[in-house]
Amino acid sequence: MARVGRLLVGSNPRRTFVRVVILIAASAITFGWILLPIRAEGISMLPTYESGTLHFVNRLSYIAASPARGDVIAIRLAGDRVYYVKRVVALPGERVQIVDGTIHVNDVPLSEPYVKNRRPWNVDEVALTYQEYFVVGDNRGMNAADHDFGRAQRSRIVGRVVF
Amino acid sequence: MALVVAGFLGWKHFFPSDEPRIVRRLEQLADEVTRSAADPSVGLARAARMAAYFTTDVVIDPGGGVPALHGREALMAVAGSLQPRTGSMRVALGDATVTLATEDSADVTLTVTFTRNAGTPEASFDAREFAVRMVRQQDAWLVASVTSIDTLR
Repeated sequence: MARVGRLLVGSNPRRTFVRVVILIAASAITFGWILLPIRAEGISMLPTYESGTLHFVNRLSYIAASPARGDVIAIRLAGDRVYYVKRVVALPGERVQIVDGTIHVNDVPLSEPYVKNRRPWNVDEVALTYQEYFVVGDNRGMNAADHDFGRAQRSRIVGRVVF
Repeated sequence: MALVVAGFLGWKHFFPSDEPRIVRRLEQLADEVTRSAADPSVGLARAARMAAYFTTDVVIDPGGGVPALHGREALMAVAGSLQPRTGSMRVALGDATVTLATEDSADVTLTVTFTRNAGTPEASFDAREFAVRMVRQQDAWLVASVTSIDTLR
């Protein structure tokens, strides 16, 4: 019994206690403030993210940099419990439209190797302001009417989905 | 000390402030919608149950180019005409922020999630952000308006 106790707390209980406290604090800071765990729900990001899978949002991604084309990002709704997860396809100041399922940015078709199925979506040209990003999910095989996509304000972007 | 804490908790439980009462009221409405979606009872009974949550002049603006509904009767007529869907639908609230505008009115922003299982392997999931105006009438908080907020425009 004493051996089991020693295995649990080590030879120096005070040091073990300090380590446990540091571990708990580090986990709380990491997963509460830096790497936000999220569970994917729905099919709009298929095949990149399956529904029900666990991922992390790096909230520090865009402190020193701006979202880039191709980044998968988390977008805040009313609070901190539910997010949209979408891919950035057009950047502030750009013009974007969708023609027969292909995204055109400033009149140039966008190569999107992550899109596996494509329906002939059509969206009129949109000119983004300098605070807006155009975001779409990877699943273009669904009806456009069932898929949330469009312009996201920079202030709503929480971070980048890292894995 | 324990008596003071117990008294405080008891007071908060039996006499909650307006913010938790409003959130609880909206959660009850979400539960009602969830139950109604699966309830095979006739539409009129469903509409009558939900009517108690709204003011007579409620305005529902679903956004997305869909015309707004004006008045509780119009809303209940629409609710009563909806057929129970195949499978189940769960409506849940999250991230509710309540701001008391006056003693008898409050503004709420919240996220509503809709999970529908129509018997397919994949449940469909949707989330929407709403701005809700609540007013107090005869000591009950009622929904006076609901406006959809376009998170992605």
